[in-house]
Amino acid sequence: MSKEVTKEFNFFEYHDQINQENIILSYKGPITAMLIAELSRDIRAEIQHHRKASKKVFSIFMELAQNVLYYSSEINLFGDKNRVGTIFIVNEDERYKVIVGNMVKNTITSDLKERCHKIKELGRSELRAYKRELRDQPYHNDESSEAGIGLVQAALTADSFEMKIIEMSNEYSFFVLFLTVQK
Amino acid sequence: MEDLEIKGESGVFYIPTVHLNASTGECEISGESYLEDTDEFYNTIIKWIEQYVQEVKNAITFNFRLTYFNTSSSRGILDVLRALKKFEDDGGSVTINWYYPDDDDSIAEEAEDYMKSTGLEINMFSFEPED
Repeated sequence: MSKEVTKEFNFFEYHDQINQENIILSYKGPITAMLIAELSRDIRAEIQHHRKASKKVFSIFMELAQNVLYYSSEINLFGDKNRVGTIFIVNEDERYKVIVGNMVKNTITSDLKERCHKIKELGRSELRAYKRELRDQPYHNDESSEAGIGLVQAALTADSFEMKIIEMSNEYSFFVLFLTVQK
Repeated sequence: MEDLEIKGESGVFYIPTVHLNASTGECEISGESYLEDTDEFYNTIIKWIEQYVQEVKNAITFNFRLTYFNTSSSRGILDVLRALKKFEDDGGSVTINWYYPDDDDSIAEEAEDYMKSTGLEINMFSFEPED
């Protein structure tokens, strides 16, 4: 990703931010199935106070991290060429926030936007029906429907669901999901 | 016909515990499901059911006692239920009990969704998870 640096990177500002006590997880890098399991254990160890909420955060993390694992368009060029993603879990006063970002090809952003808008607009029972519809289909390696069910599950589990897509170049965009869980 | 036993573990992945008893028809899957090869895991269970349907044909009781499963696993579970539904449609006696942790509404909802998707009757019971 060669993009002109428009603002000088401030290490200390960044360090201050991620060093706050309320950051449960901050990760950017290659995602593997094994790493997901490893991080999921850390998350469980970190949040035990709000039992229902912590189960939800765990489950949202699992689905969205697996989405990155299968569908991120950013590939680590070293080692096993794993997919790359960014994951934050933040502990706020009244809620937990899960933020997951990864690169996607510009060719799929309009589909993604449409899918996310649909997920946002549907009520709970409609969302459950949509999940059944995706799950009942015979298994096929269609990226969008496989990614879809994970997104729907995450949205069903969360209390709010927001999406942002930022175009990074002619070819790629950064796709970010913001989900919250009330304590 | 042999029983199928899978010892669950929470090591690198989350592997459920499985007991499928060919002589009593009592089957149970419990624990958490996040697997390296989800298809292979659930296909092993489905193949066992298909063999049971061919060779034993007695009543079968399937207990689900899962506390977490990811969406890939939920597809595998749907296929297990479809295999059981097929047995029921062919005249087999099938009882499905779904035990859900009382602190997790989503696992209870899954049972309702599976009933809608398969047309199977699923008995639901809540339990207090231990940890």
